[in-house]
Amino acid sequence: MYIKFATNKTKYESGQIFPFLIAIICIVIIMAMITVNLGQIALFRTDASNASEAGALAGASFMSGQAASFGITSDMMCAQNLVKCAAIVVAFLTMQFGTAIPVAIAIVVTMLSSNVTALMKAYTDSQMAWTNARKTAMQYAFSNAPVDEPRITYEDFLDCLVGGCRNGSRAAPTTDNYNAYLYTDSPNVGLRNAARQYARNGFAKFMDNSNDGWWIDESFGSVEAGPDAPVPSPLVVNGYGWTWSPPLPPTTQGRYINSFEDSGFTPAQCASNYCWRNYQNFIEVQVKSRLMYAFELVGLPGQDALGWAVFAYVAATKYPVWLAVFAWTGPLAPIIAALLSAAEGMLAKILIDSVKFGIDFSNPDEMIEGSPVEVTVARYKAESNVGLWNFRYATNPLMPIRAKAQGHVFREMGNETIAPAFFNLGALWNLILFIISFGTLNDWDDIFNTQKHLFETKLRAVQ
Amino acid sequence: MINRKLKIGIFVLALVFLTVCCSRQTGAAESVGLEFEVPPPENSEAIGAPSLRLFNTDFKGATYKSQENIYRVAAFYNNFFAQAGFNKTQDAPIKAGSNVHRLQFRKHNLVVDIALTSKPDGAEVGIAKYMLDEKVNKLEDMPLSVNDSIFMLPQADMPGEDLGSIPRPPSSVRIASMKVGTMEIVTYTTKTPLLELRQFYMDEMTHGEWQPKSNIDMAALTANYKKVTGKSDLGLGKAKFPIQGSRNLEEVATQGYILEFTGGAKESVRISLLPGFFGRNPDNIVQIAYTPENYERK
Repeated sequence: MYIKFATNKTKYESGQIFPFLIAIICIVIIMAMITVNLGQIALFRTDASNASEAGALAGASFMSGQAASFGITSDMMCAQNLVKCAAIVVAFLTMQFGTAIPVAIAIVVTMLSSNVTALMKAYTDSQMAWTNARKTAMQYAFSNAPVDEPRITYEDFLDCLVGGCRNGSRAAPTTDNYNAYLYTDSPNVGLRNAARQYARNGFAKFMDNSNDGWWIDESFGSVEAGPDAPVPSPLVVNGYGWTWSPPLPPTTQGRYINSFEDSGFTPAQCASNYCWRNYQNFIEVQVKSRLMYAFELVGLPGQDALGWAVFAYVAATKYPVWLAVFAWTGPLAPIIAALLSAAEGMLAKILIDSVKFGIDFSNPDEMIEGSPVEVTVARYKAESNVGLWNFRYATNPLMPIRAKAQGHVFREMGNETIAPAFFNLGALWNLILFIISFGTLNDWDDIFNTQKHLFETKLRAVQ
Repeated sequence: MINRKLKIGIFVLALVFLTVCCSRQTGAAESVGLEFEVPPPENSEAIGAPSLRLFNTDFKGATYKSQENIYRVAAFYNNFFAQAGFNKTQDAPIKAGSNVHRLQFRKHNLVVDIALTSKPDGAEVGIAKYMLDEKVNKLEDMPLSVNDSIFMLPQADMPGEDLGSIPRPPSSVRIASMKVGTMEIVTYTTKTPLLELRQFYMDEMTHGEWQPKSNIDMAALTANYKKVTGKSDLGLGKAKFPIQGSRNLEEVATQGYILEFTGGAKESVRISLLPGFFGRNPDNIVQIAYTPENYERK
């Protein structure tokens, strides 16, 4: 008995490891599946995150460029109004008071109307800029988020090539139509065009049609943006999705459809019903931003000193003129000349004081760092088999995975501004004297300081 | 009994004291007018008595030639006006490097300005009396008046030319015509109401080859601006021109219209219609700015 047991012992022990081995292999496979799933989810999250950040940065980058453009507008106003300042001084210096006043009025009216129209143009520009920033942000978000729409198979291509996708008659495979499918290249123009058409997926078509498809900005022009409006204010939502459509008579084959082509909704209905959310796989992009900037007209630092310089210049220059005019009053003439030249200088100063040299944000901190382009990317993918596991991306279309990012303009050096960057009073006065003397402005470099208007873009952490 | 007499005595004394004080106060508050006599300087002869109206104020002048030097004349008037209860508000050369010294004395509304010009044989003295509102520190701060002939706006066309292709406003006076760069700017005053002017230009310009580009009602635009920004004004400034009855630019801007037209390939016109802001009841202002080459297309 012992011998028998001892003889069979080896066989008995040699089978012991097998159940454990099976168990370990199962565990390893399960772990691999979980790892792949988690990896896929992480990858999808990263995609959504990248898309939102790319969109937010693109939108903010657009606005930083626009801010620089506003700075140039300010500089241009500054240059134009410097010439007008010089014209005011010239009018008082070279004309009799009675003639100088109408000319000064004319110059003031010119400044008034050009400043107001410049301010209003800045508003219109800022409204358009924000609209374009939202549009750019959305484009970048879509472009950076893979929708992983199934591409049409060669068999589908053959099905659709002959008589449409639903009649069930398939074209015979040939080298020509195989090349057309692979390379969208064929000597047969009809075949080549058909191949190119099929090569473009629904997303490409969706991106094509800015009016009916991907860009529906209901907020533009209709939002009542006031001081109480939340910032960022307007919200634009758009999305795209695809799904598997069951066979429809007379065909016996189902096919992939996308929300752009087959939603059955009009674009307006899609905008309000978010029809892509009815699909198995969708991406939704929301962009929030300001509607427009709040600007104000601004003067120059040291403008008051400039006004006093003009006062002194005009008063000193006109004193002998008035002295001659009132010479008939004898010893009283100096007093009258002093009073009138001072009054004339004061009028010139008030005119100079009333000049607005550019535009600035009424609250720079809020309008620059505090006005982000916010992009939220939502991805949903219905439960589907990815080969190793019944992969779940999300189970509820109403609760997709989301990634949010805010991009904003910021001041790298801390002193960037859209206001005219010219602030050297001595140089300012020299410029005016130059214009008075030569009737033109030659040294524009002092006024156009683009470095002062160069804003940067940054991403901001979002809760 | 003594106590009672003492009390009555104290009461009477207090009454007298108060009466005296009050009478002094009342005397101090008395205004001094142009009739106040300023004596001529010592050893002088009168050479004129010019009077004129400036800053909407009457100047009553007197001029003398004195054999005394300006220091003695200055000392004389310093002493005189100090005794008369005037404050000295100026004592300096009339301008840097000038041989004319200016003294100014003020008592309430009355201001006396004295110019002392040093001469080899003495001094020339000019004395001007005028009344100033007590709230006004100096004459230069007084609002000018369009009643002063030198400040009146032109009543007939000033030199220059109208813009041939753009009609001038009805019943208007051209007050300025200038060229800034390539832009030609002509400014008119007219009594025609702004709304009529707006309609006039919308009709006249569109009958020609001009295409309307914008038609800005500043009141509506300003209201929208305030709504969007939460600001109370356009920020054009509250400063008024120192002319009586003038309005500040903010008021003017919110009541005007700006019309813009484009014509031909590159021309553009901006017509600004604004209420007058210079003086009391001023005429409306029309400014036509014509640019032969549309700068926005550059």
